Amino acid sequence: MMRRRDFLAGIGGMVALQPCPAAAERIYHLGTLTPIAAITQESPGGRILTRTLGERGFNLGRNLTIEARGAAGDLAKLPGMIAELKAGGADAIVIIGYPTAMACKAAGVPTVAASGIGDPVETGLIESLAHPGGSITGISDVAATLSAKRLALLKEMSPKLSRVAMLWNKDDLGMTMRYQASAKAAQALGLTVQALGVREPDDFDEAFGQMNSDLPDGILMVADALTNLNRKRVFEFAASRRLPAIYEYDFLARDGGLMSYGPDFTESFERAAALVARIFGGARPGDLPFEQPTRYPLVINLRTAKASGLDVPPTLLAIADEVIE
Amino acid sequence: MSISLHPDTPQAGRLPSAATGDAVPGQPARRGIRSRLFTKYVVLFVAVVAVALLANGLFEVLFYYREHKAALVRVQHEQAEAAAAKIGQFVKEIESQLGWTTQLPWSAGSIEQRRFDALRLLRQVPAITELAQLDSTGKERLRVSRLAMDSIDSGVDLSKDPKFTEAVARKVYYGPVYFRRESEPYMTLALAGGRKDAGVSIAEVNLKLIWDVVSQIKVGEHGHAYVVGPQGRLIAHPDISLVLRNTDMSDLAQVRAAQASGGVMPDALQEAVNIQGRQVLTASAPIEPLHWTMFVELPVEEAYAALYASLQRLALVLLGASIFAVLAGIFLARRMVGPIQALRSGAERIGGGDFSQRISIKTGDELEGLADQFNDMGARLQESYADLEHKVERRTAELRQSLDDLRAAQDRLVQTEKLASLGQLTAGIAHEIKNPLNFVNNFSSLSVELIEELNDILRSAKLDDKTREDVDELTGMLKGNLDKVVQHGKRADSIVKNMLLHSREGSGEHRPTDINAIVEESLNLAYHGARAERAGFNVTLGRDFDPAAGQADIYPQELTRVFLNLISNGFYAAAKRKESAPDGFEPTLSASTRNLGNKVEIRIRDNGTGIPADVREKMFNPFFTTKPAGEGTGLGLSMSHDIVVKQHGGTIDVLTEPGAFTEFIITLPRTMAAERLTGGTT
Repeated sequence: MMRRRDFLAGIGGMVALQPCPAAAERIYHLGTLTPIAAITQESPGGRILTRTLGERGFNLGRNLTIEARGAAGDLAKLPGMIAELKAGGADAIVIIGYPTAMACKAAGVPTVAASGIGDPVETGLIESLAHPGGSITGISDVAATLSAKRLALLKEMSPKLSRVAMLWNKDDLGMTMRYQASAKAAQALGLTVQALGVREPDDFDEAFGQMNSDLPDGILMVADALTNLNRKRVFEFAASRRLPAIYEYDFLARDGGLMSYGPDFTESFERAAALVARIFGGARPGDLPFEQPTRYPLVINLRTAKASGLDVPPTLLAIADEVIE
Repeated sequence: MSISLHPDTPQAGRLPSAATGDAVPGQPARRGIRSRLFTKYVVLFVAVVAVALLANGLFEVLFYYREHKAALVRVQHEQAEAAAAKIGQFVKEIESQLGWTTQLPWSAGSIEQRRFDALRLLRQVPAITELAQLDSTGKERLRVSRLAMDSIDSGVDLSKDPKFTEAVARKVYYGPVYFRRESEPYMTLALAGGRKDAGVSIAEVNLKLIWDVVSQIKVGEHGHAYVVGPQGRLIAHPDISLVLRNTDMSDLAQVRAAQASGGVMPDALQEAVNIQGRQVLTASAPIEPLHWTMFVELPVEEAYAALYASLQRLALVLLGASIFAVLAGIFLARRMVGPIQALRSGAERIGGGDFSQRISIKTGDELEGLADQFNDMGARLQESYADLEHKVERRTAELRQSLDDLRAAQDRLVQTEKLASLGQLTAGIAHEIKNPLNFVNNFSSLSVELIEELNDILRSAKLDDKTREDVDELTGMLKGNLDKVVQHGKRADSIVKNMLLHSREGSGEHRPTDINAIVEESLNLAYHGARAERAGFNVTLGRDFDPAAGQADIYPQELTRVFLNLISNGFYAAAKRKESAPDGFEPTLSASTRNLGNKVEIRIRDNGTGIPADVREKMFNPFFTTKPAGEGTGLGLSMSHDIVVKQHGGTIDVLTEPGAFTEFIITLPRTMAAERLTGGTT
């Protein structure tokens, strides 16, 4: 009898030796930071981030927190916000915009740039696309090289285009470079450029005034925090003056802009989220190559076209990736 | 006895205490024996089962391992080939899409229409970043791009470029993989039209998009597929970072081996270390016609997980079976050893002398038969032992009886010898005393007569009265003294006569005599003698004669003396008891005879005073008497003993209880042995 009991106890012991479940799951903290409006859960970018991270096993309310910050146009606030996020234990920060990237680089936090940072190699943000080094990775923005393409598309929309007004944030090096590239491309296309550099929302009225006094054939808006913040005013102005306008990001066309050509916003945020997941998994941002967008959707807003009384050439509609009616 | 010669056969008479005493020191050794057998059984059983299980398990593991590995290799090869086919498909699809642009000759259709078609192609095929179209002379007529402005009729001459020459020569040209900005992998794909004048379409294909394909290829749970270019550069990998980092894979043994042998890896390199440094099971397949190599890899732990799981299961089964074997072994050994143990202890107890021991084994097999045989053996032993004991008891009783008889005979012999020597002494003394005594008697009688004569003489003499008176007084006294001398002389004479009887044997002649008659005669004689001696003597006589008593060869005179002696002693004792007994006591004397075959027994019994024990010891001694002086000579019983024992070879015994009775028992042989007669003369 004794032996039998020992044996049973032994079996019990073996069962007890099974490894116990892992300790409490680690919680990952993600910060987001933009120079303007915070990437909230409701914003398109926030939704994509949350969804993509969820697909990779990071779920809000379980093992993920997101702390969203926006500087509301006041770039001076950025370093303080970065410090706050860092103090909050952020494992990675998703940012938009070149000034944010620069601030993050200075702070040395693991950063994933989702969009709007221009060409990171040319701006000196990183060493090379394949080996960024430092603490920043993300999606490289080829908007500058796309400027010529946009102007061509704008000319296709309005073949009589000869003078184009360019709105950009003068304070932003990336945007300035983009403006410069666009101006160069315009010259190659035989277009004259009406340069409308702005620094703050109030400057837009002045820019609109300039355009009113010397009406261009079309508008190209270099999208950044400042211009995006004032996008509705630009849409309204363009519509009121029946001016064809092209923007850099698809969400601007969806939001009321006439047309847009640029990197796929959704793809950018999905890839950014994927990079965040890699960083959560222990990768160093400097080891993660910068990625380039693969899709450049041409979006045409037919509603805006109708409202502006503009005729969209059928060939353009035929090659458009998205037509909003 | 022969049994005692076998040292291993326990002796029947062994005492139980001795047996247990022997068993105690033997106990520990026996315990050892018991456990050894038990352990042996268990170990043997477990060993047999374990060896069988282990052999089975090992074979199973071996074959399973080989089959599993072969299956894994096969599956991986298939996966690699399927994956390679998918990549090939990806490129072929681009190729066929591109084919549409080379359908028409340059003479047909407007350039604007071609541009529109090219833009639509870009829209349909996301991997193509840039598309150029050359006419049949190798001049670039159209270039559309996702990033740059379209250019028409740039006139760039590519007629010497391999993109053009190779495409024209082989219809299709796959350029080398290159990395834009040292990051994104690209490949030039050039396609010549079916017609000579259709020109060549050159597409820059962004290979990053293969990522979509390879990341969808499932290789187990954690395995993946990747594509390596001819120079060992990574073209596609689910981890896009590795591709964008422009990783050189040619350091990996499996990549080198696969590229050396045209895309298919030798089997020896199934297990290798991957780029992340993990041990993987890998297989490859060539992607033709691109000269790329498709690799699939699966972490070794996962590949062998099923194997390990089955090993674990097998181990569990083995463990379970071993435990079962141990339990079964214990159970069987207990079933086997238990009865053996019972047999052993039973045999031990039988050996220790406990023959009533029965062994109860109900296994229904040979062991039960053995136990039954043991029980039979025990029963037989018990029987024999009981028989033996019975015999020994009987023999012992017989021996004891013999010993008692011997002792009695010895006592009697000693007594007889003693009495005989006493008798001889007495006879001798009597013989010597008889002559002086005759003188005393004769001369004292003569002296009495002389005194008479003296008186007669004195009567005639003249004497004064005084003197006469004195003389008369003196003679009277002399006469009185002499009378006393005569009287006691006679008594002494009678004693001497009796003493002389001791030395006299065979007086008279022996002849066959009727015992009942001689006893009757003695009885009557004694009775009348006693009556004559003492008036008023009265006694009840009893007779119990066995009619079968018959005759015996005896000396009738001598025996009559013995009987008279004994009977008169009895009368004396009975009378003596009557003196002190209350009224109503009736002195009784009885005589009885009994036939004892070649012997005859005579009993003389009185209800007199009986004989005290101290008297009994000495009553056959000569001159021993309890009667007052003058009444007995103390030679009666002594003589009787002589006559019965020495003369006739019989026995004389006495039973008595003081104050109750005395019984003399005389046994006489019917015929006197000759030697006894001669013995009697000495």
